[in-house]
Amino acid sequence: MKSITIQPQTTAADTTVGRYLARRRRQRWLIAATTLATLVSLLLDIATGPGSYSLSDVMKALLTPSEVSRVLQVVVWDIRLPVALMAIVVGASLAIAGAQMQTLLNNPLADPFTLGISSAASFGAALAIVLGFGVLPVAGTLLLTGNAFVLAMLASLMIWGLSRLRGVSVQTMVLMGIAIMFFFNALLGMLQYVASAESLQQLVFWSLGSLNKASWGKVGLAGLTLVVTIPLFVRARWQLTALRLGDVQAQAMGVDVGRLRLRMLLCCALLSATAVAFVGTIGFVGLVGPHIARLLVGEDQRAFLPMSALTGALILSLTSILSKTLIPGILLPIGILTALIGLPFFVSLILRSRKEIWR
Amino acid sequence: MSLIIDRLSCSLGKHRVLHDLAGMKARPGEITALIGPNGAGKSTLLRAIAGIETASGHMTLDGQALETLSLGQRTRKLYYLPQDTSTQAALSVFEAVLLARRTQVAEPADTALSMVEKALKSLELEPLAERELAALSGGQRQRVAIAQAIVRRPRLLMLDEPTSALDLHHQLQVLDYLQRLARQEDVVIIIAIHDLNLAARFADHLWVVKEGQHLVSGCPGEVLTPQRLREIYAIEADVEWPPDSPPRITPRSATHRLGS
Repeated sequence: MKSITIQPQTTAADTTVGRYLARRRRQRWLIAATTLATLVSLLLDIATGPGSYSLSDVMKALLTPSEVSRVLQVVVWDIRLPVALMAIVVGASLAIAGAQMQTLLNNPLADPFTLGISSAASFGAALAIVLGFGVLPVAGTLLLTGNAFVLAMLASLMIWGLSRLRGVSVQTMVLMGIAIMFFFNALLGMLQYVASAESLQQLVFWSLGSLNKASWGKVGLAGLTLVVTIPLFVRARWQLTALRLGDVQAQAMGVDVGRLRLRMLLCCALLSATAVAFVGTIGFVGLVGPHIARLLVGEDQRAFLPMSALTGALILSLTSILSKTLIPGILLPIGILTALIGLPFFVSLILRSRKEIWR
Repeated sequence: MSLIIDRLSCSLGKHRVLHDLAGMKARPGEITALIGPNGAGKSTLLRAIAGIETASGHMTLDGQALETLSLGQRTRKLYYLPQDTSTQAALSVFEAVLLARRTQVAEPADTALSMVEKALKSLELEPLAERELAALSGGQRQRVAIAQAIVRRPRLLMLDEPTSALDLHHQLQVLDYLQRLARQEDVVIIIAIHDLNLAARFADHLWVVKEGQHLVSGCPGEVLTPQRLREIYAIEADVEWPPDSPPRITPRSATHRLGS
């Protein structure tokens, strides 16, 4: 009698390609789930705030504005929606800028805040508030925003310019970013020292970060920056991923590392300068967002870029809700909350990756 | 149809590392071992050929002047695998090897995926395919880097100390594989290597550089002699070429200072 041998069958999922495709599917599911969470958070953000409107009232105002009262229409469309969208747009901008700065400078602690871009923006705002001085020929609220934008771009360009110097390593660039932060903080301190009590209060409030002055125009401009820069990052997705293998390996793969670094840093500068100019200094989103994304989907830019944008957007949107609900009746500055939430994460990050940082 | 260096000089900052190298030829289907003491300029030479270091002079690959090609054009024909492949990237082994292919050509996903699968299989990396690069040992990362080189199918493949972190099994496996690759695909392969026994066993041709200068080229039997080794490394060594087993080079003592 012949014995029958049963061969173990190899299914598609058992092959290395099958397992890789399963990983890609998992990444896509995570991105979809985070998108959904961000949308839910956006709705909750619109639904929370002074005035006792239920979620269904708010939904009705969003979907069929003509069927709700004029007051509710104004509250939802002119006040809450721009603020809630601004949280999403700014969160995504800061997180993308942070993610790419970490990639470009090969440093897990790089973000618009730690590289001095936010400090420069604060100094720009202080020039407008304390001295009434405008870098751009504009007036009113645009004076402050314009100053913050120009100074944030200036700080970014200083880092950018430095990277053009031959022989400057990425570690040096990060250290220069930190030096820039101290430089602008010192200038800011000087202005605070001579400021009147009223200006000082205004300046402190601005530098704590706030979404409340969001308008459709500002949301549009910040959104436009995202729309312009994201395709550039997407186009360079393979080159950016290759950069994580180190400059020499990336060059061996044909990546013009110098040119890529300059172009992408300029995009990061644009994103962070726009975000900081409109909402003030909001720290840690640009740092924490990319790290969560990295833990969830890794650093293949095809997943890392959208995931960073989404985690940043979700974090700031949730923080916006928290800022309105933590102490009933009081709106906390959002920058304080992001710093408080981000600090423990930041410390654990330093402890976990200190070998990598000082490698 | 080979790599020919007519004249090549290269400086790093103010320091001149390579001095008018000339008369160096690496043929397809062969492994050329690049040997020389520490600081001789081996890595700089490979990087200069790859276009990563700016160099002056003239060199041709398959008759085409390399200095006329941009980095992007050059790296479509050749690939340089650096000695240091350490990284903290949160990328899986499969993603990292796929990346090497996708930075070179845009092609249907299926083609790229099956090439990656084949490369991982040939280097026994399949069990590590989902592991993150940061979690690999030095030797495992070195094999991943070789898989990255393979999927690019270069005409000229340059490897800088590719076996330095490998155990004995994987040293032989990798060099066997590279020898087969050179023969079957008619690839020009140059390997910078310190282990002279491996060089003697696997190389068809040797380039010797010392203090940035081309000292000598030739087949292993011509170059790996006690006199030459004294000249290159300042060592006294026994060299044996047994008829039925691999060549044996046994260093006995260092003779005098090697120089800076």
